[in-house]
Amino acid sequence: MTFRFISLGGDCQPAVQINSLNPTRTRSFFDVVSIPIAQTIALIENDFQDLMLTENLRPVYVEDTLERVVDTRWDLHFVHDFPSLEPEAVEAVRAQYLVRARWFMDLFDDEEAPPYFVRRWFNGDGPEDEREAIRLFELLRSRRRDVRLLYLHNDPFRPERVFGAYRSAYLLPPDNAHWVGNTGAWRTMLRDFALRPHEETGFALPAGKQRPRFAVRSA
Amino acid sequence: MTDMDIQAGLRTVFLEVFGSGLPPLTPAMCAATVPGWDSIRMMAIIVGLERHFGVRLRAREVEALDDVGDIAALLRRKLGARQTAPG
Repeated sequence: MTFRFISLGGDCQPAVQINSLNPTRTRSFFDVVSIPIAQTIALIENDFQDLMLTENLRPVYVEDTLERVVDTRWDLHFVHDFPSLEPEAVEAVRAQYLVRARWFMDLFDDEEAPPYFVRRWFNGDGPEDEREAIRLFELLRSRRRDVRLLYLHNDPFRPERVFGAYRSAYLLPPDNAHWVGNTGAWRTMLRDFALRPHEETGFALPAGKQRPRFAVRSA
Repeated sequence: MTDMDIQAGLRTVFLEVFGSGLPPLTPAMCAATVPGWDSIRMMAIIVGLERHFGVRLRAREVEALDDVGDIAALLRRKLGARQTAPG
């Protein structure tokens, strides 16, 4: 059975890992962008309004190379999409993202398969990241009752949380610090997210450093 | 819109996305056989199809497409095109 995992960022890593498990022909909105969680919430709350307006697009150069383009309205970083800032290139990227935004909103249509949203921690999220992740879940849940969210953070001392369709856990880093992350941990977590009954609601955890039980279970 | 119109429109869109080196379209052409047909190009194809044909495609419809023949069939359904016999 194929589950419909949808990346909610904060960067490319969730989409890379999801796509290696469930290859798709298309791209979801948050697959290859970087965005803080608070701005992710704001963007969805506002139904992607005012996305990529020309006056809000700011190029970031490293030496003479275009490194990224930032939509300053939403703190949305396009790190892979813009070959240049020529008007035709900007229009082509904008057109694709408008389709992706429409497809994202389609996910809340009951005719669509229930989405399993996945968000990974992002450097700019700050210490309130889990509170924001729960706020993100509540927003998604207000749009569609049967959504699920897996939030993967970088705090090894924070317990795994399972509250109905919301889950969070520590994402074990890879041994080699490669940007695609720990593929073994990702695969186990995604499978567990899809298959473990989501009605399960928490359990006692020992104090100290946590290792999510589904992150250490063999795949 | 006839089936020939769809074929011609498909050709136009694919040429815009892949350039003039693209061989003639066949129903069996797919991402595995056309160099550079990745998820980014697929998004460009979708944008081109929506503009050219004035249709809206859903992600799940696109995910179900395996090849050019599937794209033509989807457009045929969307547009209610009548089949035109060749010749």
